[in-house]
Amino acid sequence: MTDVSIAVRLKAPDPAAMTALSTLKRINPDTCPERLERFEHWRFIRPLDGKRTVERIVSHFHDIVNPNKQSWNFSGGSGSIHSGDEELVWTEVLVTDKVDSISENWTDILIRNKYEVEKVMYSVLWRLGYASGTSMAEARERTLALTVTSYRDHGLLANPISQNINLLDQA
Amino acid sequence: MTSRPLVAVLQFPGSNCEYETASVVRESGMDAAIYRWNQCKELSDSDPDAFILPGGFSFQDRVRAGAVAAKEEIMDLVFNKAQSGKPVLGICNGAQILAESGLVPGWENGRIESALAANHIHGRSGYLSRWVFLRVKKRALRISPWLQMIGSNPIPVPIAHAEGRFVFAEKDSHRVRECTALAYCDENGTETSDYPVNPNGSFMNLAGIMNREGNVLAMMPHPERAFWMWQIPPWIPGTWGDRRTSMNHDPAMAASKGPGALFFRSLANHFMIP
Amino acid sequence: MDLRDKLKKVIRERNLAMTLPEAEKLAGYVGRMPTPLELHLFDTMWSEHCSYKSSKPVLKQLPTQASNVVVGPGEDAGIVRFCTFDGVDWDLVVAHESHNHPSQVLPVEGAATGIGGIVRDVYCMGAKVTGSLDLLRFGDPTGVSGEGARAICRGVVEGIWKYGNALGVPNLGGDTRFHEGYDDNCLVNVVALGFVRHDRIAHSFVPEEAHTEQYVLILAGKPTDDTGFGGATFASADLEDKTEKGAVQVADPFLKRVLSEANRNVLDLLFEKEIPFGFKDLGAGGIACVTSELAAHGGLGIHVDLDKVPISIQGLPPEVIACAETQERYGLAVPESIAQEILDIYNISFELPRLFPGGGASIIGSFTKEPVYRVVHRGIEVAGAPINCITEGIVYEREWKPSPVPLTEPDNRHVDPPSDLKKMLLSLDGASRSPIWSYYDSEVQGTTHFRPGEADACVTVPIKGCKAGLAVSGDGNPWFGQLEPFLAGAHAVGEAVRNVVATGAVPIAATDCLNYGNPEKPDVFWQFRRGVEGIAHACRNLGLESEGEHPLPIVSGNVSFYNQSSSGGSIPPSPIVAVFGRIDDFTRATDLSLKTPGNIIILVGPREDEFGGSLYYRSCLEHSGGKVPLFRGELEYEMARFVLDCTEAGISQSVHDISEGGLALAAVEMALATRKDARRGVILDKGFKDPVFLYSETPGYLIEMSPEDWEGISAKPDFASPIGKVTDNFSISSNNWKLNLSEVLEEYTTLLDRIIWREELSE
Repeated sequence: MTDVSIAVRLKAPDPAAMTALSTLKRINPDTCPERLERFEHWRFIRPLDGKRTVERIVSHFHDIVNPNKQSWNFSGGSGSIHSGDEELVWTEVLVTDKVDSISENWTDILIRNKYEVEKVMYSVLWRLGYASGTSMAEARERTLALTVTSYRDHGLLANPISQNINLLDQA
Repeated sequence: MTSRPLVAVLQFPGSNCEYETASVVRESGMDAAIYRWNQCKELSDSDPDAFILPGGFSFQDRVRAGAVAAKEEIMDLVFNKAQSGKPVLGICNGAQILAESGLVPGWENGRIESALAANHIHGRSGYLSRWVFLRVKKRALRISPWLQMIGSNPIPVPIAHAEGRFVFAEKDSHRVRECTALAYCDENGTETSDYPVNPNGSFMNLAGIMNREGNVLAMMPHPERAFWMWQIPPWIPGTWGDRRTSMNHDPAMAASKGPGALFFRSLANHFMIP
Repeated sequence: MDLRDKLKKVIRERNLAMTLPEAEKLAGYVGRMPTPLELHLFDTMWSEHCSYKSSKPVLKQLPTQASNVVVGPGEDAGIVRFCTFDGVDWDLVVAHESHNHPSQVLPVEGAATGIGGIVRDVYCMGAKVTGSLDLLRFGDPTGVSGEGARAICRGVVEGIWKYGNALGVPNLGGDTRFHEGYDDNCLVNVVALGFVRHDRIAHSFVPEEAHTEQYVLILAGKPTDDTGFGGATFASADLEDKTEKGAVQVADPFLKRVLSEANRNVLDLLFEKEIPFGFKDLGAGGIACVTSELAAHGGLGIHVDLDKVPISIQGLPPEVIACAETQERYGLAVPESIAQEILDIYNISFELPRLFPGGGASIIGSFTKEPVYRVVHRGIEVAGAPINCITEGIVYEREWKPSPVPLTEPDNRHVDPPSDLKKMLLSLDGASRSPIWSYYDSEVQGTTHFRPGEADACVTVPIKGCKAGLAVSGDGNPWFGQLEPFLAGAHAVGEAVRNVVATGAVPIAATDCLNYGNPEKPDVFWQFRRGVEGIAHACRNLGLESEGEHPLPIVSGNVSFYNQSSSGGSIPPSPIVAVFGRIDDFTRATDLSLKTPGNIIILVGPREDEFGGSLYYRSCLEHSGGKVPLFRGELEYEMARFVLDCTEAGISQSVHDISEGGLALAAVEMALATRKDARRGVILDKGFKDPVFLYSETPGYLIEMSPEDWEGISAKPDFASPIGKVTDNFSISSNNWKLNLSEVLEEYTTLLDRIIWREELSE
């Protein structure tokens, strides 16, 4: 049994992504990405029937995905989320609260409701797209700098004191 | 002193407690003025004596509560004034902005050293409105201009937040004690980490932290909502509860001030307003 | 193809809700085949939601006039006089709406935009919004569709807190009921209230002055997109296909808060300069409705240029730009000469274009003496209709057929008070609502005196320095509705009035939201008629402010039809009423917590054997019963008068109305509300094991007072008598039974939390 992750996005423009991008443009005009996308990311730890278990969960709990406003897909690392402008150079960073009630509560609910999964972990997945021509190494470096908030004018997407930051590998 | 001290209440896009906060400052014998986020020049020109960052949802808590507002230009000025020793209070969303600005705990100037993370409660996530009890930590009582009049007895105040859990880096945990200002406790003053006495899982039951000098205070509870006796719920236990209950047959008590007034009274006292 | 066939085709192709005769009527107005924009505009204007075409003839029965009414139903919100303080006259502004269908499909966004819309209705009268309530009806979370009901409940509460809390408007509670009749169709009714200076009321039409000076139309807020295209018609159609359209709008409380601050600056400027203006929020029908109505109601025409509308999606057809229901937008009719100054407030001072890329304020039209509604897009006229047809309504006389429910009674009425009370307290309708309220911010603005649950109604002190308190409560009992639609209407008013009166406040106005099934079905339309008759009857009996001279006026409201499942089953008839009261000195307001051991409990209202829909029958006997408590108008009035007199005399120490679970449960709730370090209980005088005495839901009140104060009442009404004493023991008892309340407190407090949020369902 391996873990299965899904990425969930709003069908309408995501206001948090919009605000984040306009903030980055203002504070880091030289290094900010062309586009920024935001997903809710759910990682299911060792679901018994793999993707089938996860599909059952997703179709049952509209709190996780409400098909009237959100779309989702399996996210097995990078390159699996087909969205946005493929001309851009994309990086993905996963931000997870070190201690998180949402993950704990959903783990409890799923287990109580007899879904065979060990645990679920909730994160926010940010996808940053840079102008074509940017090297992957530079894109990754910029993403990390824009993510890790160390000073007031330095970084935005995650506070490393309370959150884990995971720059996903490229395919 | 002839003129009353001026307290600047900052309005960020999405703040929503600025009016009542300014109002209780005035009720405490000081002047208050509200400055919009882009009125940097007006704020600088008026040279306020103290600053309050009120509660609300600046930028709707997008990305993280306080994270975007911390990067507004007006915070440069607040940052400098805080460094120069001017009293600065962040309430709820204001506290989140102070944490995301690196103004508290302020071990290294401007570095982000704390977080106000999502509440951690068994079986529950999201926003929580609730009355809690607080006590002031000893050193804070001595040095912070916002706390001197509170004394050592526990006081009831309400919280209303989704992200109010103070977190520090593990390597810093040994020095957290020196920045502690307010802790959650029960009506007898006893601290415990159990919900609901500690309503959000905050480290060391912290409800408020300050910088080393004590002039900058970041607190999650809302003192402006406990400013008058009549704002206190009828079921509050303890000595404040006794006073609140006596309001039922003593009209004078209804007009008296509540525990939250002590924060603003402390500031007035700091400025030597009688 | 002749016109008729063309119209038929376009109705089908554009999925319009209008009927062919309606389309023909429109074609008659414009004298040709209507344009797509005209079709969509009138499709919205003539939808059930906007036109009240089925309900209008029935709604005429409601009493809407009284001496204190400033603005009755018709504008975005109703207004009544509230108080005079410091030389200023303050008016109360109230509005009440439903957002049922959108919340069923998208609970979070549906509930959020529900608040957004109702709050805008109060703002646009020029008021500061000082409170909102949510009246929620969900399916049975433990029933066959429990999974859906629980997720919808969680989502709606999340929408309320994520949006409502951010707005900075205190949530003053409301009520929540669970009934399997809402499994496929939840109800989310929202109420907003606010205050405005009497001389600063804004109106939703272009002012008289526009006949002599050039006025323009400013659109302020979010850039227009395609969300909610067809929203109003969506609200009026059956919930058959959930994927049908993106009719639910995306709410943005952040932008709304900033926009409200900017609006306040704009309105202050206009009032200070004494410039007349028109102001209206954009709701159903978007730009098309707001522009045409602002003009039509002011007797002018308007020329709208859609190319001036800021949009966030390129290439939208003109009918979408004109009719989309993008949230967080307002329309403002002002003289051209002041327009730039106003644009600067929105765009420069409050930086709307930075805070919401593409947003801001722009001039999109100008008012014309030529009485025509004209819209231009890329230089082409896309609508051109005589302005007076905008205000032409349509009316249908619907058929109705009485369909009373046969009365049944249980075979035997077993009574075991400790176990009965436990069952009722730990039922879905009896359990504490605090898990829901704990998500709401009830204290922002710093004006709240009684939060939800502390007294029968929330009490706030909204005008700075002034002692006048506002009490508000909203009610409606689906179990009554299911059995007797007339009494459901009457008791919705009665219960809300009692809740307000229990705090010591005098009811001054009411609003209603009438939630029913398909009005084209004669039995449903009969339920609706009976509900309205019941509300009207109760209002005529409960004109407490004018001492019976005028009725309690209904000043705002809404009708929501087509609440039904895909299989066609209607919801229980659900008239929901909010009542607003004033207490001149809020420090005298009474909460419901028992205070002093040795005090006596006065029962106000004799008990009758009428258990239809009662909590006792439902929870303890698993029976719905038949005979719903009668509404005794004169007695209700006299009882309320007595309770108000006691509060005014300062002798009531706590007051609670008797409703679900009867007298015994009311006494228990008064004990449960006590301080944890000063617990109180009740001992009933006699060893009653009489279900009528203990559990009957005949309306009434319990009042705690000292024995001396009771003795001091010279003319004791015959409907009031002492029935028990306050003790310092946290229990309810009589000489032959006792329930220790510490046994149930925890479970009572957390029941909804466990079932709804933690999904802890018993096996």
